[in-house]
Amino acid sequence: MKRWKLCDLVPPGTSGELQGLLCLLVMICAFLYSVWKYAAALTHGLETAARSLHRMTDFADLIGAQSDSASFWTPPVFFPLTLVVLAALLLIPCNYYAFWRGAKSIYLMRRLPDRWELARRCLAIPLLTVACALLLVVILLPAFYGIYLHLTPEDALRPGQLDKLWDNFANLFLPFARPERMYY
Amino acid sequence: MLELKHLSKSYPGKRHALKDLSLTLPRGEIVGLLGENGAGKTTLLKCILGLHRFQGEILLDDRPLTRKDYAKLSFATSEHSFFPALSAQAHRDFYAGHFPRFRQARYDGLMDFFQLPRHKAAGRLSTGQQNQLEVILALSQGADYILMDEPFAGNDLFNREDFYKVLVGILEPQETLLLSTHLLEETAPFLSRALLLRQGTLVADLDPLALEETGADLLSYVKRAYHYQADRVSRALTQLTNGKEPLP
Repeated sequence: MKRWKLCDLVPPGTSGELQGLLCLLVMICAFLYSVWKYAAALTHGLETAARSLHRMTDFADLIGAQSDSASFWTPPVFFPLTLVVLAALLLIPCNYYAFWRGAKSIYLMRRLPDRWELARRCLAIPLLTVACALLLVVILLPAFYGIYLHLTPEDALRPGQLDKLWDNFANLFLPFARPERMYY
Repeated sequence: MLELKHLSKSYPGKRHALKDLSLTLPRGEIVGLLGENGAGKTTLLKCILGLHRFQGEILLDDRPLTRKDYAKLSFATSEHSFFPALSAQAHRDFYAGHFPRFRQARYDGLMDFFQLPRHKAAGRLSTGQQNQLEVILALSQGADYILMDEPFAGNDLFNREDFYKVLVGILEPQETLLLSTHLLEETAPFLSRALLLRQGTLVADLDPLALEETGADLLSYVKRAYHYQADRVSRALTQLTNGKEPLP
C-alpha cells in the first residue's frame, strides 16, 4: 500500500507540512479551549453546589449546550471545534483554486491516469481535519461526562443528565444557542 | 488511431463551438489545426482531452476513449498547464510518478537544448521559457498523441524555428502531433496534414505536399477558404483617413 507524504495531499507547490501544521495548531488551540472552558465551568459548578448546598449544575449546562448565558464571548465548550470544521471546509475551494492560479494546472490534474489525484489533493487535509475534530468531540464528551459523574456528589446530581444532553446536542456546536426549556 | 465521430459542442447561451465534426488521426502524423480566432480549435483539443463535455464520440484504436487512455494524450497549451510554484525538476518527478511511459532521456535532451533552469519555479521563468517547459513536458510524457494549442505564442522566431526542427527530428513513428497554430507560414513545411476549421466545422482536410504539387500553397488555400479579402486593408485605411493620401 502506498504511503502518502503530506506533500502528496496538497496542491503541488503548496507546503503540505505548513497546511498540516496549521490544522494541527488550530486543533490544539480548540482542544485546549475546550478543556480550559470545561474545567472552569466544572470548578464553578462544584463550588456553587458545595457553597449553597444546591444541586449541581446540569452537565449540558456546564458544556454550554443549554445555558442562557451563552453568547459570542462565552461560546459553548466545543464551539471552537465548529470553527475548525468550517475553516477546514473552506480550505477545499482554496485548494481547488490553487490549480487555476498562475496557470491552468487543472488541465493536467484532470487528465492524470489516477482519477483520485485531484480529489485527494483538494480534500485530504480538510477532511482529515474534520475527522480529527469529530474524533476529539467523541473522545472529549464521554471524558468530560465521566469526570462530571466522578466529581459530583451523588446527592447533588440531578436525574436525566444524558436526556438533557441529547435534547440540546446541536447547541454544543453553536455560539448563540438558547435552550428551549431549562432544567432546574 | 484517434477517431472523432460527429463531435458537437456548444457553450450555454452561445453559438455552436463545434458542429458535427468527424475526422481521424492515424499515428505518425504532424497535423496542423488551422483556423481563425473562435474557429473552435481550442475547444476541439479540450474535447479530445476530456476537459469539455461534448456530443458525439471519440474512439482510440476503435474503443471509446476512457480516463485510462488519457495517459496516451499529452497537452501543451499557451495557457500553461504546469504548476507555477514547481521547478522543472519537480515537474519531471511529478510526471515520472504519474505517467509510466515518461521519457527521461527526451526530457533531459530538450532541457539541455533549451538551456532551461531546472531548479527555478516555473512561474518565475520568462514567457518563452514557460512555453518551452510546457512543450517539453508534453513531449516527454510518453503520449502517442501530443496536442498543442498555440504552444509558441511569445517565443522569438529563431527559437521557434529551432524548435520545429527538433520536433520533427525527435518524433517517433507512433507519435502524432496535433498542432493548433496561427503560425501557418512557419509550420507549413513540417505538416503532413492540415485541418481547416471555420465556425466549428471542418472546411478542409489537406495534404500540403499534394497541394504543392498542384502549384498551390497552403497559405493561399487557407486565405481562399476563409474568404480573405485582400483589399480590406486599403479599404480600412481609406475609411480611417477620409480618403486622404496616407503620410509617407
